[in-house]
Amino acid sequence: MSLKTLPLLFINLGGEMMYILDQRLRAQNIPQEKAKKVLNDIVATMFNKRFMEELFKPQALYSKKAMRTVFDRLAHASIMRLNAASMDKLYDLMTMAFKYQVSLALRPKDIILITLNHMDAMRAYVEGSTTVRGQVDTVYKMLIDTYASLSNGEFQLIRQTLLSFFQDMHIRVSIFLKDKVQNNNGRFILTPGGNLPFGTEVPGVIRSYDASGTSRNIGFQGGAAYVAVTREGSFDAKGDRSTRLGTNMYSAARPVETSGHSTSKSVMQGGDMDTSNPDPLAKAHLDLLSQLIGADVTKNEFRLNLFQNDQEEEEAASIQPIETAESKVVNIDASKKKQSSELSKIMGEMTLEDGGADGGDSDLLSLMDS
Amino acid sequence: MFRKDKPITLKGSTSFLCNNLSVYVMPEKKQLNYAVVHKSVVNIACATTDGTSVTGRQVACKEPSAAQGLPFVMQSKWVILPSRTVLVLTTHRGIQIYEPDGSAMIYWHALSDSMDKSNYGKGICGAGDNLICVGTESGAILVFEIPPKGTNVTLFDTVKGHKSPITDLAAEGEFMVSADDLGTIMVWRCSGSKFSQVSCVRGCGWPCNSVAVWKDVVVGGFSSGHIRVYNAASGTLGAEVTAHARSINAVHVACESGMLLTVSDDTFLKIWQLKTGAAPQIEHRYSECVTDLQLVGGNFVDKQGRAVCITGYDSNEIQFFIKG
Repeated sequence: MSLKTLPLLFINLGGEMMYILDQRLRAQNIPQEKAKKVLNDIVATMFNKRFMEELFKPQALYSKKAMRTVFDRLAHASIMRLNAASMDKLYDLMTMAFKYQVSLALRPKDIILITLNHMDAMRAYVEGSTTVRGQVDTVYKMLIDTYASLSNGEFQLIRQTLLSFFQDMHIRVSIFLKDKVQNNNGRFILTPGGNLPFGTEVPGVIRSYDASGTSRNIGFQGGAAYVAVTREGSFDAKGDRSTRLGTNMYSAARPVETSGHSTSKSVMQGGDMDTSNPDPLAKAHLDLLSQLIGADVTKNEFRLNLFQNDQEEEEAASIQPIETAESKVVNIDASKKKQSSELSKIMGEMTLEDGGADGGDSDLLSLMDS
Repeated sequence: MFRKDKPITLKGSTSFLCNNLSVYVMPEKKQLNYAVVHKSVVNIACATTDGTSVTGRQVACKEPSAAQGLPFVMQSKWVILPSRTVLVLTTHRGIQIYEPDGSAMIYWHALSDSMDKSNYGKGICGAGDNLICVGTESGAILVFEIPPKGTNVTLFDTVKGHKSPITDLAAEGEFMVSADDLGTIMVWRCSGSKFSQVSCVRGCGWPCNSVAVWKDVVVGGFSSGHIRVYNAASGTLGAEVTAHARSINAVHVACESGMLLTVSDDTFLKIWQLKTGAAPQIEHRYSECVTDLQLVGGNFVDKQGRAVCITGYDSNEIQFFIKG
């Protein structure tokens, strides 16, 4: 497992968090200067010099629990407050978005381009503040210094480490379901065809050499229509990353939903580090983060809601414990789906409704059929 | 040419690791065993050859220094030597050798005890009558001598040559083949007690994730999606295939027929036929897209290549395809 993975996980999750907060701040008509303060404060805390230096030291990833706590603190680094249900949802969205980007990255090295997309957006959020922009620029430099020269093999190991962190997380996200990039079982749709990783060739040719070294080409069915990419994404400060992964997929008009909670709580299976170890390094970093955030709380506090309205938020908060308790039952249903075509037809109808509607009822439905 | 058969369900999902499926056939017991890595656990499924019963087991990887948390398993593989079969696990800190059913640990070898520097083990194969080779992140290949019985395993030799992390090892007959992170492939001859380098093909920066050797043919599956086929003794490139649209994560040869399988991130399982010679050749035979699954492990179940099993990231199933 790569010991260089933690900064990438943290920065990309942080970037996704900023997209969602920005979208919700606007959707809830939070006054502009307050919204700006929130984004500024969070980016400033996230990219604190000492915290970044600690993060970039070679180390194993935090456990899922520790990572979640870090973002709990970070989300509350400013005057904005989130209740537990909204925080859950925020974290679910962030993690699934980055899981999607890592899973779909054409080649492991694209993870650095995804990171730079997030960095570009975060720099734009703090354009008004010279000090915070300076912090962002420092992190750009740290990223390039650490990662630009790594081999394909090292990036491959980093990608495998990230995918191991996201293993068994199958939360359904409405924006993904609507875009038809995620299935109802929470898995991403991988359609063969399209762009190839930079530097690779279109499948379908056998170059055969004889003893004298002369070659002849023999064609075969490559499996799908692929397109070779001729331009590599740029690592420059304002370069073209040439991938959409890691850019903002939300807009004020496009609210985001999750459903079918992660089964991660019930699937720990001894494979995770979560339960067994206190994670001393992560704890030290958390303490540092607490110091940084300190007691700088003002009277201007406001509450942000990740749901459409307060009622939905309360419902979500009251539903969760039940849903967790019944997650095992849900699993059994999913396996039956394969055997009974009638049942799957009914389930298909239920999910169709869930995909199209935006009322509170459909959320309940989707929780039940996940 | 191949049809899908009933899958086997594992106790946990498959981790994203190259070569993440090992098969061990016990004809005398009419038993088929499959090992798949899930984070710090190896899930073993044990099936009867007629497919009527499947039992699951787990080998939890523990290391003496519990202070460092659970180790991540990088690979697990059964090594079948003439005198003995063992299950070998490599982690990001060491190598562990178990009895074939995973019940008891025979040997443990530390590779790194530092928190901020890893030295993982990756690439496992048997060689000669009683040797097991394991690749490491440092590029060295460790050779262990395995006694026919008991726990008296000894580090017998260290084979040096690779300058970057070993990705995979394979052996057949007198040849042992090693591949690394930069795509370099080396062929070694194992004569009794010494390994001597026979040929070397320099890589071009794309990792060679999986290697196989069959008679005098060496096959490399690269993360650029290419398959390359070489003559083992000379290192001569016989054929290069633009085979997959993403990284190839595993290759495997059916030793009695010379059939080759490759699996990839691009969701495809592909089957090929190898031909031996001074410039060995390859022909495409079959392609199957496994819906929405990034394939990380693949093996022929039998020596003829009549049945194929595969694993994919985040899935807890081993899927089967039968020639028909």
